[in-house]
Amino acid sequence: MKKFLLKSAIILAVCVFGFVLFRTFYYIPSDEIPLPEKNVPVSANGERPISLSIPKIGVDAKIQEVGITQKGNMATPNNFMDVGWYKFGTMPGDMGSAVMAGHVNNELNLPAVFGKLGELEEGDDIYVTMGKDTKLHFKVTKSKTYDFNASGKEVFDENNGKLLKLITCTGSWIEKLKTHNQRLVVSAVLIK
Amino acid sequence: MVLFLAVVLVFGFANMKNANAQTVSYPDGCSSALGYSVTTGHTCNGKSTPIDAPMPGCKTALGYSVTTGEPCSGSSVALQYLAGCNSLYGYSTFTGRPCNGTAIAVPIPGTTPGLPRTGVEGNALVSILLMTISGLVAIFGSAYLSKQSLKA
Repeated sequence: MKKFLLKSAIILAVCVFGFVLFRTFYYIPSDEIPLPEKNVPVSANGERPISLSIPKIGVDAKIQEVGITQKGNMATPNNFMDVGWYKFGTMPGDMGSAVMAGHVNNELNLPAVFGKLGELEEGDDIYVTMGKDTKLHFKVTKSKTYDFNASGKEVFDENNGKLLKLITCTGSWIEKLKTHNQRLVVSAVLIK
Repeated sequence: MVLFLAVVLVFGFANMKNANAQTVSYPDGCSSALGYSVTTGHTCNGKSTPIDAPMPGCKTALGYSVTTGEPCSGSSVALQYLAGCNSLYGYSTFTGRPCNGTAIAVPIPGTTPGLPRTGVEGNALVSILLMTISGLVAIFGSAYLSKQSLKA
């Protein structure tokens, strides 16, 4: 009986360890709500963003298509390695602001895909791969921080060029709200 | 021509009857048969015991249960949209409650969303504690068991 209980405890401990490990380093649940896909833009040749590359900070990430959360915010990717493109907004390479978000850290506070986004400076290169053959080249123009609850209008609605906006969390952690108090937004413009 | 018009009219009336059959009215203050009326406090299903929301296999009062196949509204007819709504977005013009049937309304696509939440560091301590405790239990438990089996 004692042996059985011990074996059960070991199995339970292994399961807990595996689950926490998975949640800590890989999976983060998204509270995105399902919406009709009819509002998702389509590029001229039917291509969609597949991957994001930022050589300076070692980012080479897959792109997930994300929508809106229950609270009306842009949703985020469901892991710490991918970035999320706001699919109800602008297609990368089109006029307007194509917006992508990535996590700044994982549950152990280790850097996630956009952990070094703050190191980007004006003129740095960003590449978005669309479909098989198209690679869009953007150059960083500016970085700006916003309050976490600021309106997204300036970020999502700027349309004076073919822009790419990369967002991640910055500032200090608000325990009560379980979020950082600021958002870092890096803006880039399409070169070719 | 007259015969054609007669056929069209008869067909049209038949369809209108069908459309009316899909319309369900609920007690004042209710947008489905679930829960209690927000105005009268009575059960929305007209019985002494309310139906707990949501129904099994349902996330909201809309559509059909994925497990039972029954309407999620709790009545005999499935709701496509809640009363006062013509989509899943925004708020009902009738009850003022979210049109998606949950506690929080969905903003209309095309409107600007808020900034995303992209950090999780507040959970670091809990994660470390859980991994340490479960890891130690697994390691020492396994070591103890193998020691016991060697003795035997």
